[in-house]
Amino acid sequence: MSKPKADPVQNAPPDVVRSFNELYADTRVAMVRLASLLVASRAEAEELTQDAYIDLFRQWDEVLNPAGFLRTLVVRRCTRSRRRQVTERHKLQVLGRRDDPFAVASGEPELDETVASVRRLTPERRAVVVLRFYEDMSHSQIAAALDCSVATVRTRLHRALVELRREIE
Amino acid sequence: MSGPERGPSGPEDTPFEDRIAEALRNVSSRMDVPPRAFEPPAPCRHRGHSADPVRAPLRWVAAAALVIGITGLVALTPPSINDDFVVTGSEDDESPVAYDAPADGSLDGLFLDYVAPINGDDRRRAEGIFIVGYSWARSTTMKDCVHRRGLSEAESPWVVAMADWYAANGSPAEAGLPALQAIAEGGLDRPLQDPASFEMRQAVERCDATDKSKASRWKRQVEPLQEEFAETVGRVVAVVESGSVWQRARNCLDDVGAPTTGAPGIEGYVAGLAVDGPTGRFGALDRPGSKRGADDGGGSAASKAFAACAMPFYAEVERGLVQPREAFVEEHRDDLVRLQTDFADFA
Repeated sequence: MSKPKADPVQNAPPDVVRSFNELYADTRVAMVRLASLLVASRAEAEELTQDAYIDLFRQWDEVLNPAGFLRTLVVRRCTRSRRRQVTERHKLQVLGRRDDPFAVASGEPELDETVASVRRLTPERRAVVVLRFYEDMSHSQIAAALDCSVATVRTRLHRALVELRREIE
Repeated sequence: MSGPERGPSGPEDTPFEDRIAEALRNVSSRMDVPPRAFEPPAPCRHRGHSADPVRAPLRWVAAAALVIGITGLVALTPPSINDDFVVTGSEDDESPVAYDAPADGSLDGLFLDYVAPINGDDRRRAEGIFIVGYSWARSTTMKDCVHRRGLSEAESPWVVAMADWYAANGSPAEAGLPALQAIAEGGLDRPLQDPASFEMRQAVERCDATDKSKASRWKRQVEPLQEEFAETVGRVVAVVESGSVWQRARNCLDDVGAPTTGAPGIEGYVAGLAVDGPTGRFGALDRPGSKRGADDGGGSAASKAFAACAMPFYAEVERGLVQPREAFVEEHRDDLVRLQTDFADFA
């Protein structure tokens, strides 16, 4: 393999920029929505999504499936970000703070309760649930996106569902 | 997307799972995402890939030395480096870690302190063994892959090892359980500056995803367990923070002028100590003429004061973690014993 380019973003040829912009326009809303289900706030979701696009842009000429790779980048960035926030979240809950950034309001109480429970899952379990039921991904696709084994995905999904059932039902 | 295991609308999905899917889609569809043009990043000027073949390895060596110092493993020599900073480690080299798993299938306390720590200093000691062990092993199995992605043959193992060490700095366990004795004696570990350029990180990430070595498999299997227990630590810390022990610790910290970042609980003070820097210039302890800081060759007055105030708090946290750790061990005993044996096998 050749040496990496010094600055692939600044030196990108026009056709690459055009292809990238098309993908950006087609996928950005979906990626921000996916990220919003995985992290604490819209602003953070937008920021992480933007970072993922920048990563993708830098690697554009090496990626065979840009849309799939982009989703993987978004999910991994969001999962890592959520790991850092989980301790803070527990503290807020125990201390009874009302400004819990994980509060949601979709307008329908039953669905609100379900989404709120999903948001209270650990980052890893939440990611598996969102990818499975929102993104409609198979276990093996989730495993690839999260860089873990299919067995781990199954275990996390099973535990997440047990936790959700206990909380919701 | 289709397949026998797929889909909330598939035949094996239950109404409960359908409800989850519906809820997530409902919330998502309500999100109004305003349009935004793509903003290409500015050229990286301060931490880009150095073309200088000497300066770049120097950064890794400096950072590696820092990590080794952090983990208290001065005696454990990383892959050997000659005067030109060329890594000479190979798959045949003997690992710097000597670890024997208990032959009777019981769980080793050192390994438990790595996966499910209840004391920060114990965690720190254990990390020294296990991180050096797997990063050594991975640096030998992944070096060719990284090399193929454009890094020099001499640099490749170090880039892999640094990625592991950098990732371990600021781990969930470290954030929840600071090593108080080490802080008192040497100050708070400064966050590592990631020495790798974008291209280096990219190369390691890609090679990591495809590396099938025992060490990489081991790392992927042990991390979810660590994260699971780190969440337990977070919960216990939060419980202790809701009681009188925390009130006393906080009063003590405020009395000595410990800075806080404003984050709730002890975390704000831990972060405040890091922000305050290695010289520990805080409050009442920063008197003119007083000796303080890393230049003293030990912990600063600030870090000593922090450790003294936080000690009763973390003692309470440790007591609160004893039973959850027993339950964690009971739940994961088979996996833990296997991982412990596997580590001894490759390290």
